[in-house]
Parts: sequence; C-alpha cells; structure tokens
Amino acid sequence: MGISRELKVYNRFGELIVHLRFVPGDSLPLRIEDGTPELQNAVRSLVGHDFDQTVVIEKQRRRFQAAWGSPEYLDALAGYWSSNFGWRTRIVEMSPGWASPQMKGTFDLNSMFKITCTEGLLNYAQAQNNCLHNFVDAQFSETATVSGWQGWQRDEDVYSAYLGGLFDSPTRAVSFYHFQPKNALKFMSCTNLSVGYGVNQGTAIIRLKEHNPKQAPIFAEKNAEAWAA
Amino acid sequence: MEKETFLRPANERELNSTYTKIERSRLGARLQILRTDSTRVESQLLEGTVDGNKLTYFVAFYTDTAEPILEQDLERWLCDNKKLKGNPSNRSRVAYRVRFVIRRQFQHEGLAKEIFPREEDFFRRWGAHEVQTDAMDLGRWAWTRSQFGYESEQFVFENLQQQYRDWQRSKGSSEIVRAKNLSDFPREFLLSNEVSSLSLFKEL
Repeated sequence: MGISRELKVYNRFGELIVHLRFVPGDSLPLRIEDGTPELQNAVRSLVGHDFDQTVVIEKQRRRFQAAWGSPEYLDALAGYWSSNFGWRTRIVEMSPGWASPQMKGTFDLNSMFKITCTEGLLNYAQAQNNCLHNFVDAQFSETATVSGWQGWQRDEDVYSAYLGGLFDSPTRAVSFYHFQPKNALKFMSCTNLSVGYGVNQGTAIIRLKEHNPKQAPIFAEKNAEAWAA
Repeated sequence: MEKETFLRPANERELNSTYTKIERSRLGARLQILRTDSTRVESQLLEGTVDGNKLTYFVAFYTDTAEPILEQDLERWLCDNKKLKGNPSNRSRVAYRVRFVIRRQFQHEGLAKEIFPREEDFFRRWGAHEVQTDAMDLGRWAWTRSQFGYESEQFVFENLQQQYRDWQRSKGSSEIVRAKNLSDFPREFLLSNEVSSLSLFKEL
C-alpha cells in the first residue's frame, strides 16, 4: 500500500475551504474530508476523470494534468487552485500508521503545550519534572530526563524538534505522555532519536498517532507554533 | 500526416476564407478600414501531442494603412484527440481558441461577433465537437456574456462561486449572493485579480 496524502486549501481569510485525502489503491482514491459546499461540489464533479485545467497568468499558460487515481492528482489540484485563485494549499504526506507530520514549536521545559487538531480537539502534553513519560505504549517504556528543548524550526509543513538532554538509559525512542479530553489519540512518540547511555544529544521527531485508526488523522495546526513560542 | 489529411472533410482553402472573406459592411465604422485582402493566415501541423495531432494557426488582420487590428495574431488550435469539457470521459476533435485580443481603438466594432460564427461553421465542417478557450484579461468578462454561448464545467463554476462568495465578504457585503450562471458574475469581480483565467467551452 502506498503512502496516503492529504491536501488542505485555505481562502484569503485563512479558513479551510477544502480538505482532501488521496488513498492509493482504494476504489475511491480521492476522498473529501471537509470543505465548503462549493468546493465539495467542485471536487465531486471530478470523480472518475483525469484532471486537465490550464491557467493563464500574464500570458503564460500553465497546464495542470493528472490521471484519475494517481498521487499527482492532489498536486495538480493544488497547483490549479493556488495559481488561479491565490488560495493557500498544503499537501501532507502521511506514512502508514502515523497521523501527522512532525510537530515543532519552542517552549520551556515544564511548560504546557497543546496541539490543536483539525477536528478542534485539544491535546495537552506536559513535561513533568523534567521527565517525559510514556504511559501508553508498552514498547516504549523507558523514561528519559530531558534538560531542555532547543529551538523549533519550521519549514512549511515540516517541523523539527530538537531534544537536548541527558538520558537515563539507552533508548531508541522517547515518548510523550499525551492526555487530552476527547481521547482522540493516545500518545506522541519520538523517533529517530539515536542516543546511547549517557549521550545527551538527539533529534526528536514528534509524531501523533491515531488512537483509533478508523478516525481521521490528527494534524498539528500552525497555532501550535504560535503559543509555543 | 499532411495538413490536408488532418483538415478533412474541411480543407485549407475553407480555413483561409473563414478569415479573408469577412463582410466589412457588417462591422462598425472604425473597422470599415479593414483590408481583407491583407489578412494573413499561417498554420503548422504538430503530430503526437497530448491532445493528438494539432494544427496551430495564426491570423493577422490589417487596416488599409497596414496597421494591425489585433494586439497579437489571433491563434487557434485544432486538436484531433482532446478531452471534452462537456463529456470528460471522452476525447474528440476540439477547436481551441488560444488568443484573440483586439487593439483598443478597434474594440466594440463587431469583429468578434462577425468572426466567431464563421469560425464555428468551419470548426463544425472539420468535425469539432467542442470549442474550448481559457479566457484571460478582458475575455474573462467578454466571453462569459450569453451571446457567445460559452459555458463552464461544474468544477470551474463552483470554484468561481467560492471565490465570488469570499470576494463579497471581503467587500463587506451585507448579503452574499450566488451566481445562477456564468453571466451573473459581475464585471468588477471577473476583471479583478480574483481569477487569473476562466476555462470555457461550447458544444458545437
């Protein structure tokens, strides 16, 4: 199974006007997750058809084409919408089993931070007493002492969180306890953390994981960066 | 493939006379100086494009003092295997209007109204199922007037509807209205920066 992708489109007011998901190999590879009535109607009219639209900007023609069912369909749509109407578009690649791209932001140790989901659910993660605990996934049962977060970096949809700290024990993953009222997801896990015993540097890539795979994925909104700064 | 083969059952003579035999008497006063025997038609056949074989042609019109009537040459494509806008599951012969921009001093003199029916007669003789265009600049307003008979795909129309709604909100409209058809979108909206170009089509 290939990687699913999602496209979000925002109007001039920053409002989400359409949210599409491409699911490779599915009988309906392009799904409408959300959108205004106008754009839902627009996308429904495309079902089953190759995409072929031209935009003329300053006398230059740009043609956006993609075969129905191809992963490039979202790119063609995004290109058309952004160039013809000036809407902001965001495509998110999703690895199987993971609900979101990396989460980033700056915050102080022991500070509260929250992640706002597309569904409006709030999730809170708290670093308590310099310890990050995993309460959920038995695979990641180690605890790690983190001395401090280093600066978040954002590159469009990709956020990088850097952990600096001294870890108590060897670990290949550091997990964050993640409690949230609506119980939409259970934990955030950090991967790509290469540390050994006593090594104090690592790169944490924080990801959200679906609690219930049947639910829609959770995404980090940009305001997570705003309040974390 | 030869041009004559591509153009069958029409032919190159008919293509040329579409533009060289315009009735000057049906044009406005400022275009009485159109010199039809100076009209130039040039064409080129391209094979194996994404739209099948494609004949591109250019037409230039001049006044009796050799002044051009158009900003740039009129450009048209005849494609023998292009996706239909009105029936997107199918491909067929399609005439594509690429460019037609009349110089300001010769606008509103009836040139488009005279040329378009002649072109469409020729396109039909060639076997085109549709005329398609991507309207830009003043064309976003002009070609959406009902007299030219263009329509838009639902995808395009709904996108326009969304942008129109947001445009009204940004202008502080107390009541947001929906367009019922293409010609309902106001001129101010269509000619602003709200939409770069408009994909239109007409079944022949």
